[in-house]
Amino acid sequence: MLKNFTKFISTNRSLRPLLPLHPPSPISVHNGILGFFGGSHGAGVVRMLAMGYSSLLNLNDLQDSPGRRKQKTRKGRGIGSGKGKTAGRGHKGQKARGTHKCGFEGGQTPLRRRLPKRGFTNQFSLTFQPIGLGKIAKLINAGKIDSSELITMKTLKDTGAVGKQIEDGVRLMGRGAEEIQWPIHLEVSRVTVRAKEAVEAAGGSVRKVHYNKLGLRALLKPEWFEKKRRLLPRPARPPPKIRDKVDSIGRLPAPTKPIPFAPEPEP
Amino acid sequence: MVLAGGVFDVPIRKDLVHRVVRWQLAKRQQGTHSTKTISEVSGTGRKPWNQKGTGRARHGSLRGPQFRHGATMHGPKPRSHAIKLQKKVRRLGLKSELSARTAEGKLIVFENFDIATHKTKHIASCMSQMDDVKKVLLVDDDSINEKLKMATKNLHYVNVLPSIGLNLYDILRHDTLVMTKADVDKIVERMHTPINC
Repeated sequence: MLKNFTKFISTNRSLRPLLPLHPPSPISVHNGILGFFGGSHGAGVVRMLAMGYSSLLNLNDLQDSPGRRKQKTRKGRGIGSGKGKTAGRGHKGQKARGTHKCGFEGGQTPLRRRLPKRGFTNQFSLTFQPIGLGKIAKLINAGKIDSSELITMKTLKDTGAVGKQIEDGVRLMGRGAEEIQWPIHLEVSRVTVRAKEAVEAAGGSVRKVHYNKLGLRALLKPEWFEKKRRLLPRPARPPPKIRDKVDSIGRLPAPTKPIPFAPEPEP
Repeated sequence: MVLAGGVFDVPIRKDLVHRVVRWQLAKRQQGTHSTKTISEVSGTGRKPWNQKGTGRARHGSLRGPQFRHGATMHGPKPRSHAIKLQKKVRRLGLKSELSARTAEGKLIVFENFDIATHKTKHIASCMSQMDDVKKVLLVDDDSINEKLKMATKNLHYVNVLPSIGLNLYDILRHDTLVMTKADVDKIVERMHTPINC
């Protein structure tokens, strides 16, 4: 016998004599979560049922969940398929024989030329990723965001609140605003009125900061600059048109302490 | 010894196991099948006879698919058959499989695999003493014991793997899984390392 033989698991041996009393009922291992194996209770009962099969997982009875994989329609392969002979094209004509240009209406002015053009694309428009207060609250409850520190756009990206594509900044929105009950301090690009009210009612503060594209990259990915052996850029001032929409210039690298708003002047 | 419940007692997801097996079998395909298209078939491109005048059917080339020595239409070309599968699904499949083997009682854990001799008949007699065992997968540490390797080499129903090589398809092919204690710890650690570091 092999030395140091210690068999730690030998449950089915003890249950074997009970097998003849129970007819081996087919255990329907549903394509989904087999709940009873998750817990220790009830495992004994299930193991007796499992004796009907040689093992729970066999190479010859593996199946994916029903509806998971759909077969594609192969056209022109016989009557039984329903798409044989004409293969869904009807009888004769240009459409059956060849391809015709998409949108061509036989010479009549096509729809896309009948309708007028409209507008222009503003090169300078900024797109901000929305993030609701409810999601931030959920992450704080889960322990992923530290509510005592300043929450910048970098923490929102790192913890997965916003996602990897942040175009020009983050806009704080009000969905789930009731869940914020503690003071939190945020530095984001834009805020909605209700979100700001909700945060300030809880005792926190929101500061709208300005970052240009390069500055945002330096905030979110400082390691990219290190890899290229570049210094972090100086944060840019907001251009005149945007000056009213922001409170202050963003700080680089990502700040940890909020700048308090100036106290109201004594009368 | 207590096995980690998160690895050896998870609900069995048969559909995920199916997906992992399909992925493993697909990625091991060599995909070195090849046929010649009409441009690759050796032969001239000349029109064999006039379009009209001869009573024969009209042809542009003698190497079309209807001809003997002709091309193969839409035939196989060398390609990879590998499919992608999420790492978390692969991991859960392995956990399901380990849980299934544990639940059936087909998982045996030893202290280590120090065997006395390198003789095959030693291992063969041990296997015959274990009842209800047809094919055994031994999972040893990263450097497999030389004696064990030699002893099991000629037995078709015993296979040895290093601990890093533990994979779902191999466990499924064998009905019993035999591991060392160090190996169990390694597997649990492997399952607990976060996927995106």
